[in-house]
Amino acid sequence: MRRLFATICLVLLCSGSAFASGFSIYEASVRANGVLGAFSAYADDASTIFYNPAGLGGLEGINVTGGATVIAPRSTFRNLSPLAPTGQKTVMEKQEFLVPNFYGSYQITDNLTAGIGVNAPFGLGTKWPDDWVGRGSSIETSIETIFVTPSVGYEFSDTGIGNIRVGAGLRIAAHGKVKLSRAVTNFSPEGTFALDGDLKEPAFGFNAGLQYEPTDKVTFGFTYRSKVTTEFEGDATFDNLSVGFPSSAQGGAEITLPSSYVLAVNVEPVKGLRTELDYVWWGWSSYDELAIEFDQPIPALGGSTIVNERNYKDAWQLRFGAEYTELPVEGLTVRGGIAYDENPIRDRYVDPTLPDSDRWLFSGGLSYQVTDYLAVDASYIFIRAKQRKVTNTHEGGIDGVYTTYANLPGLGFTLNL
Amino acid sequence: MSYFKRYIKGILSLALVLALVTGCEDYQDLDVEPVDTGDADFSSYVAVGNSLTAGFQSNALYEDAQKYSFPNLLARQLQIENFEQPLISNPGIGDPGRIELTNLESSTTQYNTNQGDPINTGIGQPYNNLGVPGIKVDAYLNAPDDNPFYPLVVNEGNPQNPLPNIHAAVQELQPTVVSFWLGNNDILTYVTSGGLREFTNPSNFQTQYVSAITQIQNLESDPTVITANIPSVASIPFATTVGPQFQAQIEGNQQVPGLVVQKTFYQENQQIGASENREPASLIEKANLDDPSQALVLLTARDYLPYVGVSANPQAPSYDEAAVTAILNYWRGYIVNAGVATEEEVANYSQSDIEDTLRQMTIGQYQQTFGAAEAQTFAANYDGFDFDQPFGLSSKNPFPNQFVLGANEISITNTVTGIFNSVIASQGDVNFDVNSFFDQVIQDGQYTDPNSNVTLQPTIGSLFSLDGIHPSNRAHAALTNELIETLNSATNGNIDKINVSKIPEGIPVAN
Repeated sequence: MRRLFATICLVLLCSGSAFASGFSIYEASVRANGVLGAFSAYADDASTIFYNPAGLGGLEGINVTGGATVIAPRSTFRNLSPLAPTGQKTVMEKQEFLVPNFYGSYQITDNLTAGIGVNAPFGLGTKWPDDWVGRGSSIETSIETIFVTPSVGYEFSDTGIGNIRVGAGLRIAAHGKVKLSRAVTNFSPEGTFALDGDLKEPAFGFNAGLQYEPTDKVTFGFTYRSKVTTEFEGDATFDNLSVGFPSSAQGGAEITLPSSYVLAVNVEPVKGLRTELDYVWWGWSSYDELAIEFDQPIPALGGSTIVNERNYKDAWQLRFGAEYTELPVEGLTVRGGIAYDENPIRDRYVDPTLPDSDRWLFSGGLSYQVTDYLAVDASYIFIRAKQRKVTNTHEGGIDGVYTTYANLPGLGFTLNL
Repeated sequence: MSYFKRYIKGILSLALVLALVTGCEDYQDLDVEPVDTGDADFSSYVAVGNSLTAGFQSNALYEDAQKYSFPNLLARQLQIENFEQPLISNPGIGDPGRIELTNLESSTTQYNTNQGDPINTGIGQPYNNLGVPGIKVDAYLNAPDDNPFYPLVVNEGNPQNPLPNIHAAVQELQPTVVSFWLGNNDILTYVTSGGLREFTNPSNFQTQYVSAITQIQNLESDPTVITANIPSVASIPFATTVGPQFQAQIEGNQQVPGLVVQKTFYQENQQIGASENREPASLIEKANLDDPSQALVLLTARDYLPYVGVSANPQAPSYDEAAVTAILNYWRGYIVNAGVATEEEVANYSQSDIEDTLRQMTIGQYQQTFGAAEAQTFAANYDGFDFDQPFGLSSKNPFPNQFVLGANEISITNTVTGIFNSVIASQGDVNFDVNSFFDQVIQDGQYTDPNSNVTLQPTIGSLFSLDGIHPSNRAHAALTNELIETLNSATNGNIDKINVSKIPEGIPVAN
């Protein structure tokens, strides 16, 4: 046991990543964070709207839960390109992102519950120094999204083979922002290209889920979330670029946020201990390119479009979490989790806009029932990405080694009325 | 209970295994594989050369281009830390300044006459890149007079206090490898002046070259010496771009029989077994502008080619006031440069004053070359200048000499380059055959980077910077790869090559 703790401590000390793979954010509720999102077969609060809308079918009365997760990613880059000395180190600027979530559900009939969720399932934020070696690939990138998810769940009880719950909801991308800037190194003096765009109009998708509870000790879950195609539009600026560029332009980009599905099983081996394993699949191959279209031809581009190839591949995650309630302190629940997250970016397309890599996630969390109705929730996730060395990146990419880790503390509340 | 224990044990073992699998790589140290330089020690590198070594581009020495000089790129591939270069802030130093693009579609350019400043001074030792733009071979042991770059490049960190010669800097650095790429300017000044300025006497070249290399080889550090040779004149866009363009323009125009070019006179050059024509102007046939062995119209002719056919006679249909003013001003400058009259004097010269002066100057040059007796016969039969005749189409209104290399001059250039290259080939430990590299590029019509799908053409804006003589950023990367190839085969090494597509084009633009 002591050896185990020693090893875990060692791992925590020397490692790390940002966000989940690609630019999805799976930290959609503080309680779920505690079990690293291994939550699709369990889902005992209103955040089930995100993890599995079928879970709404089992929720009684009014349930409200909300909170926020802080994501603090840290990355460094060591150069292997001919543009700077080998091994030259650049530290990504430190940023902290507050990712909020809020869910509410209302039981309409014995078996039917409706709810609405607000969370940020996709996001990204990286910022490198203006003069760093990879400035031609990226200086600053950020993607923000807020999704609103009205959902319903229904429970079929007494089926003779156990409880079956189904649920579905609309996924509405209600708010979004993209921001990107990078240096244009094709010219001397160098210039800077920046795009600052907002979601043009709400974009729609759906989710659907199923939970099957053959006994009260075992639950199976399945969730599907469709892809959502978002369009962003805003001002493009070309700083210090007067030959071959307009002084300003309007630019737009379409970003397809991928579909995903979850296969989950939750087991209660002993009273008070619930353990769950979730397999999450992501259809990242839908993100094949980032094309920015301008409202006018730009001579330096030889057209009115910049296309950045992305060619993501589909990816998966394995999430394991456990929750224990039978503690000496009444009203206290503790959670823990571990997960492996495969990144969707091929070596050739790894770039500093998102220095992604396969990663391990470790979590801990707790809830304390303050009153009969109110609980406070806390969680902590540590992400450690594998060191990623890329040496044959696409044209315009930069070769080097990325190391990334992230800390994600979360705090929230849950109300059961 | 035993089920519970097994279960908990299972989970904990899983966590332990995962933790171990994740491992604990040391994120502070990056294991960079050491460079395999084979039998040679390339740990300390000094580059000796001219503008090509300095990373001079688009008529200026400036930081954005110096960063991609082939010596700097090679030093990176060799993982040499602190390879110091005498960086000059943008837009650099050049006369009259850096050439910059003012319009992408029309490719028009202008000089940026702002000058940059040294930004890497006070390092307390000589620079590793000792490329001095403009120098010839003799400058290795004798500091050149009036070279504005010499004090900036050859010093110990203080441009006010230059070293006595380049060798003094090399000696102080005691490198284990030296690239020596000099000799280009020994012939290039002849080329870029349309044959007006002299090339280095080949036997002097040999003496100077051999003594420079011997001095380097005698260093205590016993360096590997890489000698690089001189590309042929036909490979530089400076000499090959505008001729064929102009040819295409006049193709099918029966009114334009060909370009007539003013020529000066050369006696037979015994040393290289070539001779020059004695005529003051020779008719260069239309088709010849397409043939790089017959005529090379220099890039500097670009401003005057549009005036071909223009007459100074206001009654003539081809009269063009602006063009005539430009042509007359060109000749005014020509007279001033020859020291025949001052700027103030020529400003008041009429058309016939200029015609008379040029006639006298031509006869004078003839006399200087062939003697008074021959000059008298020549003068009696020589009609001289008449700007009423169509510019560039009449022997009385020829296209200026300094903008064109004629067939004889091309042949002289090739002969001299050949002699220089055979001297270079006999010297040093490793020969870098830049000449064959460019020949191959010209033959293939392009350079294909083996590490990416990038292809570069032997044109301005691709392999060449805006001056049409100096390689671009990416051409420096291509040259570095060629040099690495040469080094690898010479020393059984395995130095990594550069992916040329990663090198920014860095084309200078006027903002």
